[in-house]
Formats: sequence, C-alpha cells, structure tokens
Amino acid sequence: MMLDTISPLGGDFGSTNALASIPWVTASERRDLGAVLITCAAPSPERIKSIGLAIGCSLPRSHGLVVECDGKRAIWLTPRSWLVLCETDDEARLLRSIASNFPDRSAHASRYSDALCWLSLEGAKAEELLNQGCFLSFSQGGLPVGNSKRTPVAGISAVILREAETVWTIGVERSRASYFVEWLEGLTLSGGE
Amino acid sequence: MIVITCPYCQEIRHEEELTYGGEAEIIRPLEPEKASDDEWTEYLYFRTNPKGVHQEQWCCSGGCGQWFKVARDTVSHEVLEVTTFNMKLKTGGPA
Amino acid sequence: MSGFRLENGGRIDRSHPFRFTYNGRSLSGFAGDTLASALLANGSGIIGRSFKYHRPRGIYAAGVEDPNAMLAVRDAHGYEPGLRAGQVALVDGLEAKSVTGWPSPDFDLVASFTRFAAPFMTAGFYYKTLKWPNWSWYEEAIRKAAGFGLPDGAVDGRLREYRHATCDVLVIGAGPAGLAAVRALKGSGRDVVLVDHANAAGGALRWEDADVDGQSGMDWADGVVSDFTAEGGTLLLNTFVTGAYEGNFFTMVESLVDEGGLKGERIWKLKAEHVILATGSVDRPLVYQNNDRPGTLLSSSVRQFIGEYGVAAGQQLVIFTNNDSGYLTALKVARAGLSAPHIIDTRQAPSEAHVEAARAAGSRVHLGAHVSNVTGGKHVKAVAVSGESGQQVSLPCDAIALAGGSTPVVHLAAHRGSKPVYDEASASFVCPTLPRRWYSAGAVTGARNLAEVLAQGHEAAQTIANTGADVPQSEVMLGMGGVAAMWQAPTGNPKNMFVDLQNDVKASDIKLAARENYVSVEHLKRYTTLGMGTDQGRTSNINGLAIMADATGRDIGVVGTTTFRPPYTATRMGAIAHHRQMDGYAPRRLMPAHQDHVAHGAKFEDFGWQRPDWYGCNGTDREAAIKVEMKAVRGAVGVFDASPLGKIEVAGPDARAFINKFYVSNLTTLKTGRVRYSVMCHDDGIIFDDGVVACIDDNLFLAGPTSGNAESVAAWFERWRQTEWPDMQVAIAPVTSNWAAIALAGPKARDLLAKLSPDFDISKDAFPHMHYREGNIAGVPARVARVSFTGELQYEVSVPARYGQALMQAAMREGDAMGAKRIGMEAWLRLRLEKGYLHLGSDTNGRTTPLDIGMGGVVAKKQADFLGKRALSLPYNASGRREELVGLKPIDAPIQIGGRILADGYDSVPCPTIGNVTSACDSPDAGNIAMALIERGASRIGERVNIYAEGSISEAKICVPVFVDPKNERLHV
Repeated sequence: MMLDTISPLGGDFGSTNALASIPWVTASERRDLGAVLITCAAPSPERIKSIGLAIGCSLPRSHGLVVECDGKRAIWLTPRSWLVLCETDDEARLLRSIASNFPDRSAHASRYSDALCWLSLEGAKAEELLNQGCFLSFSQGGLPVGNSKRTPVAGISAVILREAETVWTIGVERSRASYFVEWLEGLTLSGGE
Repeated sequence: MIVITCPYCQEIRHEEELTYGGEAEIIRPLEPEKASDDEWTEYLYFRTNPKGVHQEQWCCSGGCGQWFKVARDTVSHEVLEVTTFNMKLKTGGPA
Repeated sequence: MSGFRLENGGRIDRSHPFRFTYNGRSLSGFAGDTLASALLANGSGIIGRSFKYHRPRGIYAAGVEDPNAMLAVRDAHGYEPGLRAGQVALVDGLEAKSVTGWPSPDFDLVASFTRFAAPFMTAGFYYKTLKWPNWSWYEEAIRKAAGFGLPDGAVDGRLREYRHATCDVLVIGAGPAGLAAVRALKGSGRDVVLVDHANAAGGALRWEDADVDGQSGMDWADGVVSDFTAEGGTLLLNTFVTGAYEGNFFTMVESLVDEGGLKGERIWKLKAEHVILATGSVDRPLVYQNNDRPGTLLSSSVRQFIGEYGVAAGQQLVIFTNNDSGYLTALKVARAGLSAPHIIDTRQAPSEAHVEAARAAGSRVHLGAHVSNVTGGKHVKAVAVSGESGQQVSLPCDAIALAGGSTPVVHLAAHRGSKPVYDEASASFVCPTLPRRWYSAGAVTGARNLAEVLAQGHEAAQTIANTGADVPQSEVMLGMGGVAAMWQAPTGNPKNMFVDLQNDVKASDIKLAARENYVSVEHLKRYTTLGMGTDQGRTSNINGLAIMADATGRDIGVVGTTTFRPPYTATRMGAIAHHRQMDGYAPRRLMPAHQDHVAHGAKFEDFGWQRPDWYGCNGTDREAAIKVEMKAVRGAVGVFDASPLGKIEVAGPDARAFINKFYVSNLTTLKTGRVRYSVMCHDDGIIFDDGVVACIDDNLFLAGPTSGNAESVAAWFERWRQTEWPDMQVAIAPVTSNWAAIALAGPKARDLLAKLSPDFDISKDAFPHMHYREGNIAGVPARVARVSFTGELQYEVSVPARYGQALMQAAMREGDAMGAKRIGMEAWLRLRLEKGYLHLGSDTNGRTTPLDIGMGGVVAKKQADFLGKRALSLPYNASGRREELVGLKPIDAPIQIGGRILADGYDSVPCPTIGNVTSACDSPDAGNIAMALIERGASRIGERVNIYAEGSISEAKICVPVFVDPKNERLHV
C-alpha cells in the first residue's frame, strides 16, 4: 500500500508551488524543506558542540543567527531548542544520528518536516507585507540578510528567514497555513504602484 | 502597552508577544507535605499587589518562550528592570 | 449664504478645479480644499440641523472642532455616514449629503415638532422621562430626530493597515512649535517622528501672516520640513494621534488619501522614548442669545479659511471678542480686501495698538460691549449689541467671528493622567505637570505669541538633545495679551444661548443642572450631555464648566474638567478590526485531511480547529447521521480524525521524574511501551487537563493532552521547568502539528488496522489495551496507541501529517466491506458519555478536583509529590460537601445539559441548588443518559433528584456513570 502525500496547502510534495493569489510579491509554497526539532535537556557548550558534530551542522548560540552547513541550516529557537532545516530525505538520518549519539536523550531530535508550512516571498514589497502583521520592524537593520526571527505574524507564530534583501522564507504551523495564505492574499499596500 | 527587551533573545517584544505570569519570587515550598494549610494557601493565593514597583514574571511567549523577571511600576507601567529568571531583581521587593 | 471664494490667496491649486455634489447639487472647489472650505466657498449656509431642536446650523470651524458640520460622504473608495467636513480633503467627484434634517436641512419638518417640544427637553430630559411620565410617548419621535447618517451596509474597498514602531522622539503637531523642535533636533542622531493631522506641515503658519528668521512663515516651515526628511526623519501627515497610554505608547490613525479620496487607513502603535506635545489650541466661542445661527464662525477659522483656502465667510463680518486675537481677524480680513465693519470687544481698555490697527483697517471698535441677540432665522442678518450703558444698537452683518480665547489641546497629556489646571491669564486649562519625558511647547501651554511658541519648541528639543542650534526668531508686531473671560453674555435669554452646539446644551440647561444639584462636572456632563457629542465638546466644555462655576459660586479651577479619554477623534471600527473580520476574525486551524472531510459532507464546528461535527455522507440530518456513526463504532468500526490531539515529547535523563510531577497518577512505574490515563491539576488542585502518557523509553515520554490544551500544556511544562526546576535535565518538544492522528474504533478495528499493513504484531496478546507501538503503517512511520475514548477496541494511529489524508482514505477504502464509517465529534462525544468517560471542560469546571471525579484512590496511592497534591488536603477540598461527578437516568422527561439539580426537598424554583447536569444525550443503546456534578453525589447512588431546566422540572435517578459495557469487556477484545 502506498500513501499519497498532501502538502499543508493541499498539493503534492516534491516541487515548489506558485501562489499567484498573493499580491505584490512572487510567492510559493516551499515543499522541498524538511526539518527536525533538536531539543537539549542539559545544554552545556560541550553538549551543544557535540550535537553539532552529530548532525553535521553546528548550532547557533543566540536568537537570529542561522548557521548554514552542508545543505542544512540551524536556527536558534530557545536556549535549549533548535530548528534544523534539511532536505526531506535527510530527516531520518538526523533522527538516527541524534538517537545513537545521545542514548540518554540529553539531546533529542523530533520529526518536524510536517509541523510547518514554508512560504517563500520574493520582491521589494515583501517586507512591507510582513510588517503589516508583525511587531518586529524589519527595516532599520532589524533582520539582516541570512538571519532569522521568531515572532507572531497576523496573530500566529512564525519563523522568518531573510534569505536575501528581498527574499523571505516564512514557516508557520501547518494547520494555520491556509489562514496565513488568506491573510497574505487580503493584504493591501498603500505605498503600492 | 508594555514593550520589553527579552533578556534571552534580546529582541524588543511588544505586549502581544508577551505573557504575564503574576508576581515574581513566589517560591513553591520544597516540602509541600510539611507545609501547614496556612503556608500553602499563602503560597497559592496571597500576593502583595503593590501600588508602585511590582516584581513580576513575564514570558517571551511570541519569541523564545523564556520566562524572565521584570520590575514594573504599576502606576506608570514603566518597566524599571529586566533580568533573566535565575537572577534577583534589584528594584522593588519587600520593603 | 454669505461665504464666497476670494479672487486670490490661499494654498489651494486654482488650476485644478473639482466638481462635487452637496445634497445632489453640483458645486465646484479646488485641489487643496477641504469639504468645509469648499462648502463655505459655495455659500452653503445650512449644512445640518441640531441634534435636539433641529435648529439650522452652518459651517462653524475649519477643523475637527466643528460641532455642526457632520456629513455623509461618498468617494471613489467608499461611503462614510458621518464625517466632519473640515477633516475631508476635497476630491473630484465627491458626493456629500447632510445627515440631519428631514426632508432636508433647509426645510426641516422635524424642527416644527421639536420647536413645540423644546420647552420640555431640558437637562436630564431622558433621565426624567424614563421615570415620568412615559418614555414611550417620546421615543419614536426622538429616534427619528436623533442620530446622524446611516451606514449603507456595503463592505467598502478601503485599505486597512497596521504598523508597529518605536522612536526616540515623537513630536505631536507640525505647527511652529513642533517645527522649531525638529529643527533643534537636527544632527542629534535621534530617530524622530513628526505627526500632524493636516495634509501639510506648518500649522497656523499656513494661514497666519508671520515671518520667521527673516522669511515668510511658510517658507521657513518648508525649509525645516525638507531638512527634517532629508535627514531621515519620519513625517506623518493626515495622522491623528488618538490616544496616549502608559509607557509612552501611542495609537495613531493615518488617513491614506489619493485622488479618489480616502483610500484607506493605517493604525500605528508607536512607542516613543521622548514626547514633545505641540498640539496647539482651538478657538473658543462666546455664549449669547442665538449664538448658533448659520454664519457664525470661530474667529481663527475665519482667518484659516482666508489664508489657507482663499474663502471668505462673508462680506460684512462682525467680530465679537474678549481678547486681542479678534483684532488679528480684522486685519486679516482687511488685507484680503474685505470688510469687518465692527469689532465688539467685551473689554473696556484693550491695548491701544490693537485698537488703532483695527481702526486703520476700517473697523469700528465697540468697547465694553457684547452681542445680546442675533436676528436672521436661517442665516445671521444683524447683531444686537449692548454697551455698558445698556443701550442697544443693531448692526447689520452676514457673518460673525467669535474670539472667546483659546482652548489648549491637552487631551493626550490628560489621557496619561496629567491634571489640567486653570490658568487665569489665558482663561484656559493647561497641563503644567506632564508624564515623564514629555515636554510641551506652543499654544498647548497657553503661549499666545509666535516668538514664545518657537522658543518653547526649541527649548523642549534642547532638553532632549543639546545640539547647540540657535533659537528661531520672529518679530512681535502686535503682542497677544490675556483673555478677559466673559463666559455668558450678561443680557439675552439663556434658553437661546447655546454652549454645546452639537448636543444642543444651553446656558439654561447648565443652570438647571446646578439647581437640581448635578454640580460635579462629571454629573453635569451626563445630566445635560454637555461635551458628549462626536465633537467631544472641543468648543463647549470650558464655557460649560465656567457657567457651572458661576452658577455654584465656585472658581473654574475648582469645578475642573471632565476626564479625557481616547480616542481623540472618531476611529473607524474597520480600521481597528483590520484583518480580524469575516473569515479572518480568528486564525482557524485545518486538519491534514480537511479536504477529505469537506468531500464527505462534513458539517464543521470550530473547536479551535475546524472539526467535523457530523458527516453529511452518513445521513441527511444531524441526528440520523450521528446515530449511524455511533452504530458503526459499536457494531463495526469508525474512523475518526483525532489529529488535533496534543503530542508533546518530554526527553532527557530526568524525563520520568519531571513528568511524574504533573500527573495525578504514579508514572514511576510506567513501563516502556505502556500508556497510562491521568489528569493534571494546577497547584490549587483543580483539574486543568486529562489525557494519556506513553513511555517510549526510560528517557522519552509522549504526553497526549486534550486538543484544546495542546499548546497550553506544553507551555505549562516549560514554565515549571524554567522557573521552579531549572536543574532538571529535561527538554520539551511540542510536535502536535507534525502528526496526523486517525482513530480506528470498534469491534473490527483490529481487522481494519491489519489491512493497513502494519509492520509489527498487532494481535490481541502482542498489543494489548493501554500499550504503545512504533513502526510502519502502510509504509510510513507511525506511532500507534491502543487506548479508548469510546469503550471499544480502539487504536490511535499517528503518521506524519502529509500522509494524514491518504491514511484516512485508505482506512475508509479498506474498511468499506466491514461497514466502516467516518465519525464526527458529536458521535464521538456521545460514545464516551455512554462509557462515563469525562470530557474535560464539560464534566469538569473551575472547581473540580481529582477527588470529585472518583480519582481519590489514585491520588492516595501516589507517594511522590505532584502539582495540586498538597491543595487536595486543604479543608475546602476535603470537606465532604463537594460536587462529585455521577451518572443520571431520567424518570419522567429527558435530561437537558445545564439543568440545575434542586436541593433535597424542593420541587419548585427559586430554591437552593446542589449541582448541574454536565453532559446529556440520547444513546441508541441506553436511551437518555446524562452526567452531573452533584454535591456528595458519589454517596447518593440510587437516590432521586429534581432537575430544573428551561422552565420545567423533571425527576432523575443518580447512578454510576457507566451506561454501556460496565465490565469493560469490549476494551480488551
């Protein structure tokens, strides 16, 4: 028996899906991103370092920093948890690696590829769109390229990555993805052309 | 409107990103079974509720999820001091 | 009918004429006009009828302070039923309609009714009439006469935006004081936001004749603004600061205007380190007989209409003043080539310089005089002027300008609790004590001369950052002296002297309130409705409380002002709601198999998640479908989407010890691969969640809180870990949304699970009740718990969310031959009620402890401490008079949820009650069944009680809350 997959926004995995209905920007659902949630029961610097060695990507020590390594990106969530973005196929390997290196579960990896929906927003107006639902200001050097922030957007929790000056990746909880996309679709920009 | 810089993620957080957790320095008695009924109800229910400086707990719930301590003036809403949870506030507290 | 456009002057763009309509008449205006200036330029006399008496009213002021000029406005972007004409920027094609007066404000039939009724509609009319004789006699007529425009019911296309921001310095008001402040901050490196409600900076410099630093005021202002924006300063025009809150937090509403009109609104939430309050002042009218006649305007507005819009209020302007500013108006009028033939000054000896300047400009000055009456019903025709001697003369006029002193706009400081204090010299209330890091400058302080205004703005900025800039200079030509207050004309009929023009409060009403002992200013306001209109009494409050002071022999400062509350101006609900309307009202959550539920006719309910209440594919109506669904579970197999069920991984060397602190049951003995059901309490012993915990291995547990508490339980774990037990080696990973969970329940659940190709042994002995397995189902990673909410053999199968919908469909496909059905929430909840399993939040309330639901034995057995344990032995929890969860079977009539249990010996209400019905339903197998929390219920099994619900009383019998399979044989098949 084979089970079909369905993405948070209702499509097939394995491709990115353009979301033409979101105004002002080029938007798509990133279905290629996998993720594991790393938690650490006793986050000493040594242990954090050894987690990094186990997964092949060191873990950042403070909010905002993203460490990119070998096709993986590690994002700081809390002082004892990190989100590691990876290729979907890599998820199982990372889980095994953490489990075998930390049998006492002092570090633990949870499946997370299906917890979030990832959206890509690209365009000069993307920042303006996000600003409408956000408490953080992204102008004034608030989110440098290559960094991430965690904050509610439009009333729901989100992880925001700034990939390039005008390219943003936003992760929202899977069950709330359709709400979030509808929110984006309804946005208007007074400063628009 | 409260805006606090979270001492853990160093982000300026607006009230909507924060959760209020009541008075700080409420310590759960280490041996509950040995606490008298009065001691236990004191711990559960009694708070100082000052007019002026109040030591309180806040959580960066929209961000890094960490609890920290804040000294806030209950009259002006002014945030006077913020520390991580493992530290004692220098402002306010029992006179 | 007296206003007209001047040949020259104003800041309007005469090369851009606009057409607009007013009550269907086509009129013309120019780019740069407001609706108020354009209406005045077109000679529109009556633009509305007053609230109570339906007296004709005209344009009274140029700005937001106008109590009269409320209009319904339609532009290219939408319709608004009540806008102030001075706030509406004129655009081509705009349609304006009056909102008061029927059939029209010029010819108003309601006025004839109210003219008759007027003598009765005095202060406290509503309060009195509600008591005697009879409100309903008046209600219909009053409802017809009252109110403003009607909404059109359409959803407009306006933009709604929110912005959150912080800044170092917020300067409120871009008039001379505010501009002097930002000029002085130049080069300070401070992040400055400058806000003004007008569509351009400059404030009074836009219309007054003044020089600053050797340039015209406006050239100076333009220079300051361009320096400011070049340096990166933020200038927000068309923006009202609507509220000031603790912590220097402000709300602001920015109107986004384009050539089609009001395109949208942006709400700002701004936190500022420092605040410079430079909000200026508004002119105050004078109170005399018939002072509300169309053609009467505030004196400063007359100057603004000329200077900013090139519009004259009339050919023959009479100026009534109690201070020097009235003379400025005379000079302005003369410079525009118009005539102000008479100045009526209440003072005996104003400054010679002013009087001479006015005479040179062609005005006759009447000293020690006042206006005692006005003639002209629909527009002023003449004023009666009384001198010292009591002699009265009639002076013809077509417009009257009132200069009663100015009222500083202290609202924002007052929002923060600054007390307005009466200042004798300016006869106004000012706020000398400001919140921390606030500074005030300009007319808001009572300053009356430009040089002083500029110096104050400069000084405030230098206090924040000393940049060493020089003070802007302005030569004082005619210094403005103080105000000789005259709160009410000494002659004339107080019953026709209007204090509050919007709410028709007269001098006589205030005196009546004083006689009836409503002397507190807050009582005065509510009793007479003084200042309660949509203009918030900007022009009326001070006059009103001064008259009250006089009537009660007190000083004005002692009477004080009413409380100022946000918002400063009306704010549209739509702007506040932003996206939180219609479907966007609350973030909704969809389950992974949502589309499949839709395809099978699910009727959704919002349980935080959109969940099927029942499926249309199972029956044409709710009850029929629910019966089909319940029968499938009891007789074959049901497939239920349980995805929202909480899933929290608790990992680490201390995981077991940690999780044992939360649940009422002992988890130290929970073996790997086993599941235990328990409840969780707050530390006061009150149940706040229930669910199962699975032990994956010694250092990894999977907690399954209820769907509604999935997030709060994770936060609860995390809080205790951080704050009380920071040394425990444990981490909490909430993973609820990563997994779709499909429950298979019913005697054929194992057969169905087997069809889904598990790669592990699911036989009865290999996988017993309350066990947990991990493996692959249908080739994908799965977590399976054999637990039951229905009392049947039941498996909860979790797979990564992307497979959720396919698993649901596969289960239905494979189960088709077995009679499988999709199960909705209602059937699910009824099935658990048949078993007496509690539903958190239905069968528990904010007082229910584990002892009250029959878990006393479990509690007693647990040696270790857990949250809530100590509280369970507090006297009120151990009293033996607790409400306990029991079952109920009806005797005469079906039991209804929410029914109150009557105390023993009562069979009619009112009477004491001892509990309530918490769940009830019709069971296909057991008939009508219910659960209830009843005082000492557990010891009263078999007794009868009376239940009151929806007007009738029925009888029921208390029973053990198990209605199906009391021996739990079906669980262990």
